[in-house]
Amino acid sequence: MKKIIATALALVMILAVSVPAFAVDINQGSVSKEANVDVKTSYDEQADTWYTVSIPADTSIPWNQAKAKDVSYQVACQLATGKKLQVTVTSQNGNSLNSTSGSNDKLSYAAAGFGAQTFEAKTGEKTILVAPSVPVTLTVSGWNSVPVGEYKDTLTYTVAVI
Amino acid sequence: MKKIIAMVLTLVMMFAICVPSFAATLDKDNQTGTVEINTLTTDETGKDAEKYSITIPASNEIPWGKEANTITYSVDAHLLYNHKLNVEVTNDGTNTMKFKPVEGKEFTLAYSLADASAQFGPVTTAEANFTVNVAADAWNTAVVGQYADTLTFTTSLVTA
Repeated sequence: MKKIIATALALVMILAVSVPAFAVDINQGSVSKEANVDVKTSYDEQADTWYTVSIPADTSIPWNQAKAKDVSYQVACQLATGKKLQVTVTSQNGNSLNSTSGSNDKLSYAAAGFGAQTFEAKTGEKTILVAPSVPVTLTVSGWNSVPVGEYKDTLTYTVAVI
Repeated sequence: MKKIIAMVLTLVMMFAICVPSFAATLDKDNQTGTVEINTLTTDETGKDAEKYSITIPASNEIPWGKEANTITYSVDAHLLYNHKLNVEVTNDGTNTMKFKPVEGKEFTLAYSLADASAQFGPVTTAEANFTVNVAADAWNTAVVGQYADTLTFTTSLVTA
């Protein structure tokens, strides 16, 4: 008896997996001779969505450089509908380059494109990354007010799907 | 054909200069990355950023009988954080100004220098003074005339 039940259950499971579900039968006796079937895609958000953000390498700024230094990233993503990609750039030293000599000297800079910038669910291609609408740059000032030396800051780039 | 190659090469060079190099890729498994920004001690042309200049007077005239005479020079220094600029004013060691009214005849006027050595910090824009002191006795015992000497300004960078 157990073998029969087990065999029957196995058959039920096989049919449940492999046989399409038929919701409506149309035959000669049907009042309506037409029926609709919805076809839709499905997705696994974890497996099917992706994003790539390329961040710049460590970079050096020549002494006295007045023009903006570009530290932009580039983005490509394909996310679920309604989602956006957010990239945030923050300064470890509050938008200043601190002396590495141990002194308290600092070089402040004007930051552009820092903070959060968002990107549409479909942005770029896997091999064609796009830059943010506001380029990420820093413009150092006050070169004449501090001793010549090495000044450093660390920028952190953080990505989130929102 | 040459024009096309030239244009292509120009474009390649432009991109090589303008496009930042990307070092890391952020994705689902790696959502945070850091980039270090640091300054160089050379400018865009590769020239050393450390510099200084002092501006010294061409000549100074001391009124007859004036004992303390201040001479001013200006300093503009922009040095490495642990460097200082030394400025030293010296004479030939005799501490005398000379007056030669005629060939073979020389009179002297003794003087001394005060504050002739000074040290300036890595970021300095200032005026500095030293004093040429001529004692009253020297004035009183000297033949009146135009005495002169040459002062030498010597600069050096020292590590503090």
